[in-house]
Amino acid sequence: MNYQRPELRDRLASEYVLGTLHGQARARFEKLRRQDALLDAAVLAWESRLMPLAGSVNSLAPSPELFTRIETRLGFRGKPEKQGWFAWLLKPAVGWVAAGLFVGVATTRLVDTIIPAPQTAQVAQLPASYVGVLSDPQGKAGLLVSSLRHGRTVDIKQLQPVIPPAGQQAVLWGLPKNGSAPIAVGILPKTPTGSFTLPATSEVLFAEVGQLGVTYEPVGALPTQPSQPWAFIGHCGKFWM
Amino acid sequence: MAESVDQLLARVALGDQAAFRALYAASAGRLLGVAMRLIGDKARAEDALQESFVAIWNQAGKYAAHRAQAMTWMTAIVRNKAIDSLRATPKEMPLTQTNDDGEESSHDVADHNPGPLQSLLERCADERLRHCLGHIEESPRQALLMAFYDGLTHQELAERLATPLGTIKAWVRRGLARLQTCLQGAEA
Repeated sequence: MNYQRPELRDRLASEYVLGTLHGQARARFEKLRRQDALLDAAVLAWESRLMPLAGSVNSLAPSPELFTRIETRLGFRGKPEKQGWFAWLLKPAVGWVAAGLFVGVATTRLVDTIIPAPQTAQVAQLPASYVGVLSDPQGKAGLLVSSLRHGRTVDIKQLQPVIPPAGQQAVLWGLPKNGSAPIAVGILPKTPTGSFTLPATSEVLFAEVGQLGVTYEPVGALPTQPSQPWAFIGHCGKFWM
Repeated sequence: MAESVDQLLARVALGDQAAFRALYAASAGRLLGVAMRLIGDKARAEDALQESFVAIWNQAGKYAAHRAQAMTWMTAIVRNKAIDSLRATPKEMPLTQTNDDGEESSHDVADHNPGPLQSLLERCADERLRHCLGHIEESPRQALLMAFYDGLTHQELAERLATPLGTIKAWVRRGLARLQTCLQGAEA
């Protein structure tokens, strides 16, 4: 199918928003949309046209505990002590950490290549940040991840397209230096560059993390441990003196 | 005066948790209704709503750039999460029944009847959209409404309406094209 034809693109956008595309076509369209701002704009235009229809559906009161679940998911209801919140996330999955460290060692050389020593003087002027460089299993650079030391936002830049299979999403994990189980940090934005909000500050989340990894997990709640191999993994470092 | 949903979402984009709580209070009932209509199971609809609000919090910054109506943007998120859930586990819905003579017929009489869908359309507050949909021929209109409100794929529409897939695709395509032409005419 020639997706460059404007009328076809608009038609697909309309059918995507209406919801008639079946699983594979829907997933394929979502992949195209992530890479194509005009297609995204067509989707937004159709959402504006059709969503008012939803206004006539009867409201339904959510269960009282639902908002608590949402706040917990977002980390609003973590224990006040930073260590406590961190510890809550640490659950054993030793095998994954071992696998993570193995791939991590293999990618060390890549990090050295991407951040060579002579540039350090320039980048040291940047605000204190956590920085991660992740590569794919072939060792090719995949993602740049950064977050201000005391910030609550993670910025992501794709160095190669990050395209989860249909029905899956890319989940970022922090791998603690002490070998504890990976901690789900959040779901990667679908855009080539983008950001997402952290459930706690970077300092809380990343201070004890030596590596970052990405797995493709089924769409839905953040998993408690990775269920898939690392799509990308690499070192995470503190970018300050 | 209470803040509008648009104002609340703009504050959520800045990481304001109190605004997020107020936004949930102002919209969760309506959005859960949307998910429930599609999924037909409250526990699963609530799961979809939970995922939606996590996405709303995480993507509120991105929304600001779109300049869409907040409710439109949030409804689209909820519909997408609900449709993902529906595609992963379709709702239990016997499509056909066989009578004593061995003849198959549609089991789902309620959805075969345009009445309830028509009344949902009549309750739509967007007069222009109502007008334009009202001018689409009955069968394509019914297919569009079933697709929107029940989250059916082309194939499922074909089965539910006992109509060939090609005809369904043509109805949906033609219906959406006419809707667009009519809405753009109204904009001009």
